[in-house]
Order: sequence, then structure tokens, then C-alpha cells
Amino acid sequence: MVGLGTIFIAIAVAAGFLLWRKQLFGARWILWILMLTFPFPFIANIAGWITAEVGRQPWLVYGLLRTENGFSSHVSAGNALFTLIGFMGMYTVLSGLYLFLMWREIAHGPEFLTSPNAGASAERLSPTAGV
Amino acid sequence: MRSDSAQPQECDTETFWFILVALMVIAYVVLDGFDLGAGIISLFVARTHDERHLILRAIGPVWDGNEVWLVAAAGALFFAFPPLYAASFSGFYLPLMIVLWLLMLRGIGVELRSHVDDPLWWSFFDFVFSFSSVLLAIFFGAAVGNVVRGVPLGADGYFFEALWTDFQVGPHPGILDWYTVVIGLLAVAALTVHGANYVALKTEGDLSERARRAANRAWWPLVILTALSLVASLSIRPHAINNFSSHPWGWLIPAMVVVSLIALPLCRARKKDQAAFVASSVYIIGSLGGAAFALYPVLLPASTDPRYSLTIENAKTGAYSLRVGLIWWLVGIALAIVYFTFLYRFFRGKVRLTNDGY
Repeated sequence: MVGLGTIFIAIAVAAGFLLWRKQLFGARWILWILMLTFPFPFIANIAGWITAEVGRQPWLVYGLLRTENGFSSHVSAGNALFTLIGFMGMYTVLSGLYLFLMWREIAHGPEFLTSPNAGASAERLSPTAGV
Repeated sequence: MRSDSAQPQECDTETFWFILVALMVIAYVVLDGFDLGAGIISLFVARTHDERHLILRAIGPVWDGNEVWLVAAAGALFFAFPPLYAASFSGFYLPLMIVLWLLMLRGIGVELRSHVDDPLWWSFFDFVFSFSSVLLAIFFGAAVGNVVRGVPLGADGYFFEALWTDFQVGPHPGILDWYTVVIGLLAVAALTVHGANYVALKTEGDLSERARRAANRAWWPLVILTALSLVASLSIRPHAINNFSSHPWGWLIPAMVVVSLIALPLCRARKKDQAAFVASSVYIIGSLGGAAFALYPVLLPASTDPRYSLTIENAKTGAYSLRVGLIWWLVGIALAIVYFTFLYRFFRGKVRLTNDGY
């Protein structure tokens, strides 16, 4: 997670520098890097959380409360498993929906709204032009 | 003066917090109640894609902020009465998780609908939105019913309730028994009227008319269920009336409920949408306020043995926390009120179809 974070900072600094020099949109190498690194924040996020939650065991509150003393005694393991599976199911469905919608947005391409001949240039530059 | 106040200073802060938590729960039900109500009526009142779109636009800017009052109320509960939070959230574990899933589904139903231009997509998310709103109303009503009826608390201060046992209100009830189902249905009726009033207020034309008719049609079930739930509550908790006899000013609260119930059809007849919405809000404030008033000072009654009930005395946190928390609560609530006033002012007026947003 920390390593990835350092890489992100380096990429952001490089991209920021190029943006300042107005060379960002022409430098394909940085655009490729920016596009390919998009899953890594998710990975870094999850890696960080796993480290925090697993690394904290066997404590719930470090040095004060152990996990075995802190859980709900009346909630059976079966209930916890049921809700865990329920959440996994909901998140799976949600991720599927999210990926589907993201794919549609990306396939749709960017919108050209500001230029006065946006109609003509949108036609020429849209990904479905000439299909 | 109350007979149980040994030290007036101490007694006041936990009483304050009891009132504050009750107020936050009431604020949640009044605010998110009309979002849920709009969801309940959406499939019946809105026939075309455009009309369903309009209902979503009516609740669109505000539903998320309204839902946060639930989190705020739970947070205040956690802060002021941690043993109650621990007992109730572990005891009500299953319905709590189900409510969480339903809240997620309701949010998905509202937000994802407009992303794809396809009738099947729209119908699917309309159904998700409506279905989850109805179930949420039932579960929230059942939750209030559980609190009033009492739960099987043990000597250790914990309990666990299955979703249902035998539907009887005995010493070992489930989340759903005949009493809590009645309260759940009452909640559906109340939120239907409330949501329909809001939709009638925020839309115009045919949709508004249909919403008014829906509110009208739901009025009789609301009155009958209110009466039924009162009788049922008094039959299972006869001493609920005690607080009212010892503090007669409390009779104002059920009076509020009756007045609002009478006001609803009167406002309808005169086509006063705003007054109708205020009336249904007053109804909710009165019913929940009355329940809180009847419960005080018990927070969660025990159906097993009254000694095990969680009260504001045995479930409160330290006096210092309660005092300091009160100050910060005032700061937080001031910010929240400023923000909400701004939000509702900004989005006031009827919603119309345009090409942006939901």
C-alpha cells in the first residue's frame, strides 16, 4: 500500500508537471500509465485495510480489549455467516452493475459540449464515426 | 417534580439525552419518511416513465441527507447510552442487517435508474425502489413495536431475537409477532400518507392529483390502524398510561395525533398541500413522541423480567460525557439545521421535467 502510494505520488507529480507545461494530452506514455494504473488505488485501499484489521489481531482496541472479549455473545456464528454472505452477494451485484455502467460510459466516449462546431467535430471524433 | 430524581442535576442530563435521541429518531422518520412514502406510492401513482422520473426528482436532492438522520440518531444513541446500543444492535442483529440491505437497495433504485435509456432497466429499478421502500416502512414500524413491546433481555443485559418465533407476545417474542406486524402496517399507512402529501406538494397536474387521491385513500386505513395499535399497545403494556396520568400535560401529544388525523382530510378538501404535509408530519411527531413519552424512563423494556429493562439510569454513560456531548450536539445540530434549511429553500417549488439530473 505504501509502495503503491509512493508510485501514485510520482505519477501525479509527473502528470501535473506535464499539465502545467500543457503537454499532458499529447504525451501518450503518461496517458497510458494513467489509464493502466486505475485499478491500483483499489488494491492499495484494500491492502491497507487488510493490514490494519488483520495486523491488529488479537486486539480489538490495542492493549485494552481483545477480540475474544468484545464480540456479541448472543449473535451466533450462523447469523454472522448469513449476513456475511448477504453482504458479499449485494456487493457482487453492485460491482457487476458498476463495471457494466463504467464500461458503457467509457465505450460512449467523451462529450464535446463547449466548441461552437461541436456537432461536426463530435461526429468526426466520436468512436462510432465511420462504423 | 418527578419522584425518581435523587440528584436533579444528574437526572436532567440523561433525560435531556433521552429527549434528544427521541427527537433525532423523529426527525429521521419525518424526513426520510416522505422519501419512503414516495417510494411506496411510486408504482401506483406514477404511470409513465416521465412521472416516475418526476417523483425521483422530487426526492432526489434531499433523500440522502434525510437518511443520514438515522445514522445521527444511532450515533447519539451509541454516545449517550452505550449498553443500550450494544444490547439492541446485537439483539436486533438480523433485522438490522436486513434494514441495511434495504437501505442500500433503496439508494440503488433511486440513483442508478437514469443511467441507461432502456424501459426494462427503468422498470427494474422502479420496482427495486418501491419494494425496498415498502419493506423498510414495515421493518421500521416493527422496530418501534419491538421497543414498546419489550424484548427478552437477560440478566447480563443482552438478548437475541429471532425474526419470528410463534407470533405471540409472550416472554420470548420474535422480531415479528402480531403486535409488531400491526405497528409495521401502521408505519406503511402513515408513510404512505406522508409521502403522498409530499409528492402532491412537489409535483403538479395529473401526478399531483393522483398523489392526493392516494393520500385520501390511505387515510381510513391510517385511522383504523392508529386506533388498533393504541388498543393493542395498552393491552400489552397497560402501565404505558402511567406517565400520562402523572404528567397530564402529556395528553397534548395524543391530542396532536387526533388533531392531525382530522386535519388531513380537511386540508385535502381545500386542496391545501402544504398544510396536509404539515399535518402528516405532526401525526408522525405525535405518535413517536407519544411512544417515547410513554416509555420514559425505560429505554428498552424487558419482556422476561422488568428488573432487566434498560433504563436511562442503568444504560447511560458518564456524567462528564453527557454534559460535554450536549454542548457539541448543539453545535452539530445548529450546523445541520442551517444546511437543511438552505437545501430545502434551494430546491423549493414544483419539480418539472428537464433534461438534466435524475
